[in-house]
Amino acid sequence: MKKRILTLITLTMCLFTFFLSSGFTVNKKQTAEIEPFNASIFAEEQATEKIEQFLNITKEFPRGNRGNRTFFSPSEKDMSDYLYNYALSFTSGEKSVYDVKIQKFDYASEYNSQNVIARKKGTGTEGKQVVILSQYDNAYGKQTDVSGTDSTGALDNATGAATVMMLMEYYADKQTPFDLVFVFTGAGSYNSYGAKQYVKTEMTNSQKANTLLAVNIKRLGGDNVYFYADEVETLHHDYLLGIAEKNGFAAKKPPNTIAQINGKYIDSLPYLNWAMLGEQAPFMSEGVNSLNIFSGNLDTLNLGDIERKGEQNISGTKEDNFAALKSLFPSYAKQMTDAASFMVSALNSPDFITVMEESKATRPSYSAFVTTWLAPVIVVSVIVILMIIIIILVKYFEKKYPFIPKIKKLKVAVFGMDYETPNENDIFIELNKAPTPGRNNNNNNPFDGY
Amino acid sequence: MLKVIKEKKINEIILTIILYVSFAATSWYATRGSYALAIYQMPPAYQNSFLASDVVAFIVAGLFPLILYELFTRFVFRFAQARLGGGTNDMRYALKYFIIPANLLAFAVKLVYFAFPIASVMGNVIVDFFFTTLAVALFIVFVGKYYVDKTRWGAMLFQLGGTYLIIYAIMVVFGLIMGVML
Repeated sequence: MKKRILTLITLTMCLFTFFLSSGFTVNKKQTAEIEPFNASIFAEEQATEKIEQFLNITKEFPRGNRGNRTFFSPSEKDMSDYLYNYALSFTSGEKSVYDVKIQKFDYASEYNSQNVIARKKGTGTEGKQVVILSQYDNAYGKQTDVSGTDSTGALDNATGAATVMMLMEYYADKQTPFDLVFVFTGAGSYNSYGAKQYVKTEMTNSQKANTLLAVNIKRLGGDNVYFYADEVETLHHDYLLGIAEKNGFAAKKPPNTIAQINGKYIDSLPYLNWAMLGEQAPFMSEGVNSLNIFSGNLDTLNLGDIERKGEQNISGTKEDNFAALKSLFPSYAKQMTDAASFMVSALNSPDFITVMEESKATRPSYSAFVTTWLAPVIVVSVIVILMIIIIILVKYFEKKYPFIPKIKKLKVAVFGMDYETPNENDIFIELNKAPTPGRNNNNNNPFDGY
Repeated sequence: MLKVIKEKKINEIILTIILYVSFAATSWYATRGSYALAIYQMPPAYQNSFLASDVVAFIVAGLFPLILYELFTRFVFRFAQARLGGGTNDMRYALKYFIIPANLLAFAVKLVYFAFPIASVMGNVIVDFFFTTLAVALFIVFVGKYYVDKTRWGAMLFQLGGTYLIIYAIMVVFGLIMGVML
């Protein structure tokens, strides 16, 4: 009996594991041979210079003077104006290389923000595009603050936005077979609100279908750089990691031990993890290939979204400024140039379009497994069935082994048991008169002496 | 094994500690997420402290289920004492021998979530239900064989099995309302 139970349990576990593992993996794509990219195209000094431009760091303003760029604030609006003019500054002749627009949006009809969108047409005719995003706002400060605080969001997310600025500068005089869309998102610190507005209200269905890849670049300078694509293995994730490796870019997948938090960040998933938090999330909700490039340290026992092992985070605090970035996160410039080099190498890869399209086509569908109401309904249905079985069994047992309660009567034998006729259903309490000195205690008559 | 249970060879306190560890193991994956969210809302100084580690999440994971278990079983067995004909303290002691392996098996299956996190969405509900129900069913068979007279089997099945299923259904429906509709 014991062996049978053990075998049953082992088989059940094996079935579970097989069931869960089936359909969630894809065959790794054999990529075309990729030439390592010449990473010296982007110098670390260039990365620093771009951050200084972004924050407007000068001798007069060593911390920068663009305010704290808190989401929905006037300083965030000023930053969007700067980025708009930055995108327009790339010209060919008199004409701007980029088609630039500002997408305005609001939250609760009260708070206003904007995305800056710069598109460069590709040489292809099918309308394929790659979207490169980065938030330009900051998580720290007040919506009414225009003068700036110590927090200028240098790590989070001047590093990301400046990397996108570097890429815009690089591609200003280069062509790609697909459109390049650079999006600086506002209110990114507010649950990627700007990116959500971009995907929901700015993009057409055709553009979503034709988006080969959406890449978010965020918070570079932490201990490790991670590439996050999806909750299942995808072709494009492995492909892009392969490109990073060939370029000597030490990016890796987030560890399997990352905590899964109940809550919605991506529409199709009822949970989230730290690696999902980024402007690529709304694209993932739409089934578009996405990639989040970010830094931190998720490889410790700490369950939080840690920037450096054993050190306090500075993102979203008043400590997040350029001086702290340079002293506490010395690898920021290298990670920025590596990320930019990686992007160029990936977009230049001969089979990039093929792999992206194949990845989208072969992405495993897991929508049935993340339907939150399904499991409770199954369990409640099984419970109802079990209750019916219990009722049937109870009736069966009551009929087969009827319970006949033994009713026992409590009786008091006042004059002793000799005067009673006991049976097995009676419980007697015998009261015997105690022997009295001087009386004839051998006489059985209970009335003697009275 | 039967002798160990019937003669209560393992001290109840030690058994309760083992039960607590088993609850911590089976609840650990879900608790990590709630704990990670709580860490996110802590002041930065605490976000990188020992308080924010997986070890603390494991310790915390077992507390609430153990408290619920103790309250629930005390209530149910006290309530069922008359129907079962007494001896419910022994039954309550014996129940731990079924719940502990059920929790540990559920923990072993849940390790799959680290490789396939999507599985946790449905798994969190189904895996716990499957192993706990199996444990309770085996417990009821055990109790029927060694503690309860056959004339009381119907009452026992209804009291123990019925109460377990009703309370589990309430918990699941409550979770469904909180998680899906709110």
